[in-house]
Amino acid sequence: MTTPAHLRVVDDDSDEGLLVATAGGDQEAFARLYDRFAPRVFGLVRKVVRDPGLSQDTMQEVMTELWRTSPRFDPDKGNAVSWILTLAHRRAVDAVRREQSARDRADTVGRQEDAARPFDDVSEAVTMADEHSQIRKALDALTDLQRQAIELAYFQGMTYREVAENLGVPLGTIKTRMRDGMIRLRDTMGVAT
Amino acid sequence: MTPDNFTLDDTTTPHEFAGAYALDALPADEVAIFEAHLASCADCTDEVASLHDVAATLATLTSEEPPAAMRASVLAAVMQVEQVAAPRAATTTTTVSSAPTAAPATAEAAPGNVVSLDEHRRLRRTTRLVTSLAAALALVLGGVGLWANGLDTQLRSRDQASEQLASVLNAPDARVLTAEGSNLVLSSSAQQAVFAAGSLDAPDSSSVLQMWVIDDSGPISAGLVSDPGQPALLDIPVPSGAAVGVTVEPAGGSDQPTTEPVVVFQT
Repeated sequence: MTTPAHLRVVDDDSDEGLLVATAGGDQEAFARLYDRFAPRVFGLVRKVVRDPGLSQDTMQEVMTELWRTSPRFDPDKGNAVSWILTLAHRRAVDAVRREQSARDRADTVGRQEDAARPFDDVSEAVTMADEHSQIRKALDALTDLQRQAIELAYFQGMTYREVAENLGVPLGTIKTRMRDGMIRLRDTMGVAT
Repeated sequence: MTPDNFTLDDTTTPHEFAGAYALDALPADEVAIFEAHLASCADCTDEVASLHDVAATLATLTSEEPPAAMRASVLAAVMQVEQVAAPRAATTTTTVSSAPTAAPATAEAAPGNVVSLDEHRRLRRTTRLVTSLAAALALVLGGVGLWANGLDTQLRSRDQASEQLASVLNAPDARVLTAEGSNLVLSSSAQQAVFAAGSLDAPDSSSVLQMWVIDDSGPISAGLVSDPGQPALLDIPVPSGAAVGVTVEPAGGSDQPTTEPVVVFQT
């Protein structure tokens, strides 16, 4: 083996350790990473993309991309959870926007119905888990506009323009609410930077 | 029509984009603009990293087991996928001649950015090379080489085009005009513009979006939008005061517009 750095961390069971080992071409580490992250990645993809078939395709794409680009992960500069879920979210959003523009082509009415879909079903789907109730509490501490803006963007893959249109609020306001809402969530949840 | 005009400069505080960026709520053209800003703003880079952490935490709310068969399918798939090269040492400067998959030098790779989409990364990387690209840009502007034969040349030309595109998106005087859910990014000093179809309806397979520069003498073709999902560089200069219109034309484009514009930007 010519990758002592990777060998050194392959026994490290942390998310970062598994991701670094994956970057070294370790398929077993990748399999463990898959087991650990598949529910979060799939759930997020499923939430954003919604269509079951497209969700599965996107999930496969995310996981393959995770494998392919893992050498770019630098454990000194960030954590694996963020890295993986950022990748997953971007791919999901890409998929839903591609699909949406195809659907708009076929039926412009569809998009309006879509834009009017309720934003708070995430809240209803929240389970009883402790972590969830903590996040839930942090979301509840936001203003309605902050929470709606964040949920529409993150869980439904809307651009801030779509969010602004959906909520009938000026673009600049939405941009600002997304930022101050996320900062408030960060401060409430005590997410480490 | 009166487009919303705004620029990513100090007066409109680019920091404001950090939340929307971390939520992947910016359209592609604004992502390119914000990432160019990120490259030189440590505060925003830190903030984006922390907001990505927040977003990742939100993802635990939607946890759901994937179909069991997915695991074997993914593990089989990755056996056939080659991994990208690891980023180089921080002192190594990524050059334009490096492989498209090469990551930027690690010193520049903020945690929030290390998973930037390839296209975004490429735009960002090329941004830093704008000055050294002046010669290449002049070549493209002259139309030399763009239509040359041979795959290599085509690929090179495409790279040059995306570099030029990045240079417009990141020009200090770049303005973003918005109309009909689409954007035109315009650099008056360079007299160049990039069109992003945004939420415009994409044409069916038998037609194509064609861009036009419209001045007193009428519309002149500024090229076709080959992929409505990607920003497209107008292939002729946009003189100040001219309008830019986009029409749906039969595949291959037209010499003159044959339909009413789906969007017009007054520059």
